[in-house]
Amino acid sequence: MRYSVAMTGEVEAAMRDHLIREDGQEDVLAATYVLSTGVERTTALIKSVVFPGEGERLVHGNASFTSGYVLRASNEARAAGHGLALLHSHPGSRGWQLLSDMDWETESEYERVARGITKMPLLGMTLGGRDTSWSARFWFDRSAPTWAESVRSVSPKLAVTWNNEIRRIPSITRSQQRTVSSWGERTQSSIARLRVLVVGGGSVGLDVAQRLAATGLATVGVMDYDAVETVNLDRMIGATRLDAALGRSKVKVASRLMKSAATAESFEIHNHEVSITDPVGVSAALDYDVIFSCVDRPWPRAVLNALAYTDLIPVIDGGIALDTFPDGRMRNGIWRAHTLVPGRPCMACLGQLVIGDIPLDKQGLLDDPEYIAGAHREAPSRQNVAALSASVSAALLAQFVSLTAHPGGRGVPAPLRHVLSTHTLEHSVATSGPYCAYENATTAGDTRTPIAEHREDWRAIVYERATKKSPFRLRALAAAEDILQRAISRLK
Amino acid sequence: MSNEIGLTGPTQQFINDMTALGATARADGPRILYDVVAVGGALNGQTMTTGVSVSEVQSWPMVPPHWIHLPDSVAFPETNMDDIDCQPGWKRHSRDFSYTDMSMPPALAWLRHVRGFISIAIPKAA
Ligand SMILES: [Zn+2]
Repeated sequence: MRYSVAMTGEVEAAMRDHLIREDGQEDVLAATYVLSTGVERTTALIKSVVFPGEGERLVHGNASFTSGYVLRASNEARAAGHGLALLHSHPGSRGWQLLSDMDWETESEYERVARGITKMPLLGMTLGGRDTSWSARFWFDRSAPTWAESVRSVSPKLAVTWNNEIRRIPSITRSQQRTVSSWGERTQSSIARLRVLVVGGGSVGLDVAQRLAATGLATVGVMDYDAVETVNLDRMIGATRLDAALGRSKVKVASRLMKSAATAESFEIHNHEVSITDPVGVSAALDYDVIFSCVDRPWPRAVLNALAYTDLIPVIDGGIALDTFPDGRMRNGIWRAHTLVPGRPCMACLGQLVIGDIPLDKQGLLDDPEYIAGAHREAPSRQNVAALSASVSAALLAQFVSLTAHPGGRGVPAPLRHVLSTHTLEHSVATSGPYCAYENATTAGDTRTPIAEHREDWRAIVYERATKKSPFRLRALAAAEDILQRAISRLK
Repeated sequence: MSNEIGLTGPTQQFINDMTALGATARADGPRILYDVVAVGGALNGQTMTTGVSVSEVQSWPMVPPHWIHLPDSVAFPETNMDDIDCQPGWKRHSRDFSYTDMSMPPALAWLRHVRGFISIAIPKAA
């Protein structure tokens, strides 16, 4: 299991403002957290800050907690069902901080108090004051801490402090020279270590996945339970007639194309042949730092819309709508891109997710012609053109760059909408609704309201594909293709 | 028959949210029932008992229900309907719920939607 810590930009600012003092002295602080448990990663989400009262801590040279402060914070954490975090600052330091003997002793001592009261491990955190870098460790027992791999602060800017011991800085390869000269080695080393998941391996997802691989990311996952079909070939650039004839899974095709596009020295691909609307898909998604939503149905988008807030994993979403005149000519095309993070409106608040459509999608009614006719609904429009789907992936990737590289010191923009007929780019003025159930569940973690549901339908599709035998001629072609690709991938 | 087994968090939340708005809700087997006053149509002024399937509020309030349960005596010009989760002599009706205004509490939005639907009921053909 890997460990990490995440917090909203707002919580981070409150803690930073307390811990970085005008007089340059160290300070201490308590906070509470909840867990967000994935398959390979457990994340502590900082929930609330427990500021010290009069006389609850000492600030002279090495700042320290009084046991009264730790007890009060532990009890507040327990009352809310949270765990306890103890934080301190190293005002003059930068980068991931280790523990001094004295800090080790303090945290180790309070481990028992925290566990006894909250029944959860103590979380220790340090802030390096020179470059606002955070470090964190989990105390599962009092003997030694288990170090986290990263600490991320999520707002329109994603800022990650990496533990270089656990997630090593990837070396810059020859093929990355121009990438690195665009934003510098430091940004490259941070972006390259992000674990990014692309949900949906269709035209947009496939393009995004390849470009992430080419950007030098070390780990990219793709999630889709479907296969490539002939009807997809007009848009899935890189998918071949053989892929369609074999009915290859979209994740397998994405994985092949990512491998040939990747520039990282060692590139790790995670194929998730699962549905994001199933709890297994959600658990897998919780291992990632950023998610691209390249799906267009209400239910999967609702699941991702929730995760962005409940588990502090930025979700970059978008899509395209093409509109035709009655005679079939093109009237307009609109593509959108927005990043879902605390501090920006969710898809529901943007009007990009009609939440009344989610139950219909869950019940399969949007695919039921009889239901659609009875409800006087229009069947969902399926038009798409390859020439424009690249605009969607480009818009999503630009959001990713804003989120992670902060060009001009800015994070992600307001939601963007490009109108093809009038050639305009519009910034949405939509704001978060005070009763938005999604945003109000920010940092719910494992107490999130489940939107995903165990289903057999997609499992049957994956099983059938895995057990299907293709004609000999196609298998022979696939074997030949495989040999050729292996040979090419050995070229330096 | 009342539901003896414990309700999930979201189900209880739905019951609490509706009750807080004056539409006192109670679990009744596979459905939740509550009362609404019609403000037009054939039932104008009448208090109607209506409901939703428990299975449809498992993600409340992030995902609203869709089907509206009503006695057979209530008729509508045209809707999709079936009798899943309904008590004998009841049907559930489908009507698009276009809730996009997050400045309104989800339960209020749902209640207005249901009230609006009941208020377009037509007299039942004899
Ligand atoms: Zn929202």
